[in-house]
Amino acid sequence: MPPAVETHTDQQSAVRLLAAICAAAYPPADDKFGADVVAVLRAQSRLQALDFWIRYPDYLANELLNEFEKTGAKDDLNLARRILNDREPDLRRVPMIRYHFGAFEPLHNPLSILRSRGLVRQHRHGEPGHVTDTWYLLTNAGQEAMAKLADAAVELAWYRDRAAVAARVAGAAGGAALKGRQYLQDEYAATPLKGMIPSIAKRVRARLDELTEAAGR
Amino acid sequence: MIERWHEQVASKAGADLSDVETILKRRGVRTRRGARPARRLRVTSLAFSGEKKGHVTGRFDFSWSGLGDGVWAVASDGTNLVGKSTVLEILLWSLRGDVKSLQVDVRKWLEHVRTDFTLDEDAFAVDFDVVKGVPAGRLMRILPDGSVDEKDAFETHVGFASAMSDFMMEALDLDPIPFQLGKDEAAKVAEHGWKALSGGLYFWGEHQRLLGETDFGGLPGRILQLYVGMPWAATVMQASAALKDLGTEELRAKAVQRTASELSAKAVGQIQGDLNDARDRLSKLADDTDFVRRIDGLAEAVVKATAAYNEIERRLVEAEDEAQALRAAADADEREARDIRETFVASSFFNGLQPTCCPRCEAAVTKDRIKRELTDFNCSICTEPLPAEKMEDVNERLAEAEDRASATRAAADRAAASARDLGGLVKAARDDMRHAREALGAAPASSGLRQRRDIELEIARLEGMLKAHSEGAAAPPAAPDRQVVAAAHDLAKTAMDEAARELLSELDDEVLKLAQRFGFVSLESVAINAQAQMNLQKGGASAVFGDVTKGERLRLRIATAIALLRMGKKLGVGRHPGLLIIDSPGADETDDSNLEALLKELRSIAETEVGLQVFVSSAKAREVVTLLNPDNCRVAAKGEYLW
Repeated sequence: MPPAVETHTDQQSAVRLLAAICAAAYPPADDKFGADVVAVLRAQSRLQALDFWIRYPDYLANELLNEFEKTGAKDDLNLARRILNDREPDLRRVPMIRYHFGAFEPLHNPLSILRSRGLVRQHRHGEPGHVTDTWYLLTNAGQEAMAKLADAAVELAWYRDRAAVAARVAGAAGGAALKGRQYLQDEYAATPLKGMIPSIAKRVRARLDELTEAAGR
Repeated sequence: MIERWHEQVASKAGADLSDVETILKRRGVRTRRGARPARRLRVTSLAFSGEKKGHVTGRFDFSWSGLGDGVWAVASDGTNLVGKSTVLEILLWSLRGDVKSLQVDVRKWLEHVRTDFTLDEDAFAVDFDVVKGVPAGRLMRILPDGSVDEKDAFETHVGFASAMSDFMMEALDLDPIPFQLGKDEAAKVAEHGWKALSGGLYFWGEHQRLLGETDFGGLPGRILQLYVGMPWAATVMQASAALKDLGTEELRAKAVQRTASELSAKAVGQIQGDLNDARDRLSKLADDTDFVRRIDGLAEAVVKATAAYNEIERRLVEAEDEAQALRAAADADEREARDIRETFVASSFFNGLQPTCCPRCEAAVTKDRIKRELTDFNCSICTEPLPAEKMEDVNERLAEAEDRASATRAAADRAAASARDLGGLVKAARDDMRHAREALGAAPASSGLRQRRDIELEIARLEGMLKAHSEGAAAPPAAPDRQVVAAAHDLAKTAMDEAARELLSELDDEVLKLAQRFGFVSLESVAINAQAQMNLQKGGASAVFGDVTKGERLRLRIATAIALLRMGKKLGVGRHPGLLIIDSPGADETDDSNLEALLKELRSIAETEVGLQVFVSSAKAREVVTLLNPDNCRVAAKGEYLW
């Protein structure tokens, strides 16, 4: 088997990040970031965590099953099933490397695409060379762009939809808390540093079947 | 001569000379001894004493001495029961050692008996007390100086008989006459001894036989042959008896063999039964053998099924690996195609947006730069030449990627289907293997193999025993003695028969002449055969010995005895000792001339023709005394007892 040629592009990542920011950002309390800023996503770690769930549909499906267990919402169970049945973990997965603080990938290139077009701006805290946090400011143009992209192709609309789900399961939790949840998965935790985070699709499928059977009784 | 005869026997029997001598000796077959004259037996005195009891009482003491050759008589005057026969009975008892027909009461009266006799010139005496009828005394030789040499002693009837028999047989050089007692394998060879042979000396009773008192064992013929000194007769007798003995031995051996055969047959039957049983058990075990074969088959099936399962599972793993790889490749191809599509759309979108600032420094993009990007195709931010990717190139890449994705997806589906199929086969193979293992596991553990080997060993042992029995059943070899003895018998018989023809012919002539002299005047011819049977012509008619009157039979008997004596003397081979004891020769006869002729001729023969001592008893004292020497007669006075 030839090594999978990673053909994922910065443009795709730009769409994915834009979708995540659109889905998870909250409207700003005031206009201090500029009048065109419609929403703010606080902290890079949170963005990274959301990005991880979009890139690993099996982990997302697992979160949906958690939601189903918590709330009994059949939609979550069905969505998880659809994700697995559509083989999204195989076909949609965009592998990530594990670093000290979890899944992390430099976001400079895709964010540059968004920033140069004025779709997303970054607000850094701290000193240059010692940035403590980064906020992502979604502009009105960015919001419109996401809608246009989703309209342009079903495949791109998928990012919007998955980002919405990821944002929903993430809730209001901060990036550290989200990473903690992701760490709960043995495979994630067991992944060596700088190792590719593996799929948990099989286990999630088994869990889905169990829960489906339990729900069917 | 003996050596020559042994050679003849060896030649005839086809045996070695040394073997012949050994065998004949072992079988008691002797050759004829060198001829020598018969010894003369003469009673010289008789004395007995005792006490009468019952009707008549009183002591008695009879003594009669000075006896020798000639005719001696005890006589009474017309009365019987005066003790004449008792004198002869006691005389005979003394010489035989065996009481013949001495009255029981007289035997009880007797207290002492002594009889002196000579054998040729040697003097002997039998001296015994009688206590309650039983003799106890001794046999002794009286030496010329009067001293006594005890030859034997006895205390019973049997002892007395044995002592006298041993002595007389040796003294008179007589061979015992062997005969067979009993039949078949139980037969034994017995011997007629002195008691039987003495039948040639006395003439008693009804005179039913020419010689002796019994036909048993062919005795009359044997006595005839012995007394006449028939050449080879003893050898023939001995060989004949030995042959009978051999026959008995062979019968016995055959009986033993038969018993052994029967036992063997029984054993064989038993073994055969055991063998059949063992084979039967083995054949039942054959099921176990099939079972063992089946076990092997089952084990083999397990191995095969396991191998088949392993192989198919290996193929499944390969197929699954392949399917997985293909699916991954298809997924990768699909991702690539999607990446191209998404990237194209996104790129088109993003490129359609005017850059507003540098993403790095956030400096605003100048209008001049935007203008130059449109004219010079330089990036309005970094002024680098924009990639001139054409729509066609993207489409070509996309189509290529989508084709590849479609191809790999199809291949992956095929591989997945193949893996599914193999999965089914694996399940079937696993089931086969499980069934084979269950079948093997279900086969009960069996000790059949060991049992089978044990039975096979048992069968081999029984077959060996059977073989041994069939080999051991061979008939025993014939007794090697038989041919030698038979040859000796045949040779001796031939020689004897040859001699007998002459001897018996001569005997016939002698008997005829003597019988006529004794008063049997109507006798015209006699013919005695080897069995001492006599045919005769009398008054122009043929008759046998038993047909003629008692008186005639007595005359024929005496004639025969004397003829034997005369022939023995003449040929130097006879064995008759020349003593005759005749009880009441004229008792039943009305014609006194017959007794007269008999006594007269006997006296003549005894005194002038051949050495002979004759004792007679008679109730006709007058004739006896007239015809005989009065000194030779003991006569009871009228109304008196002889003793």
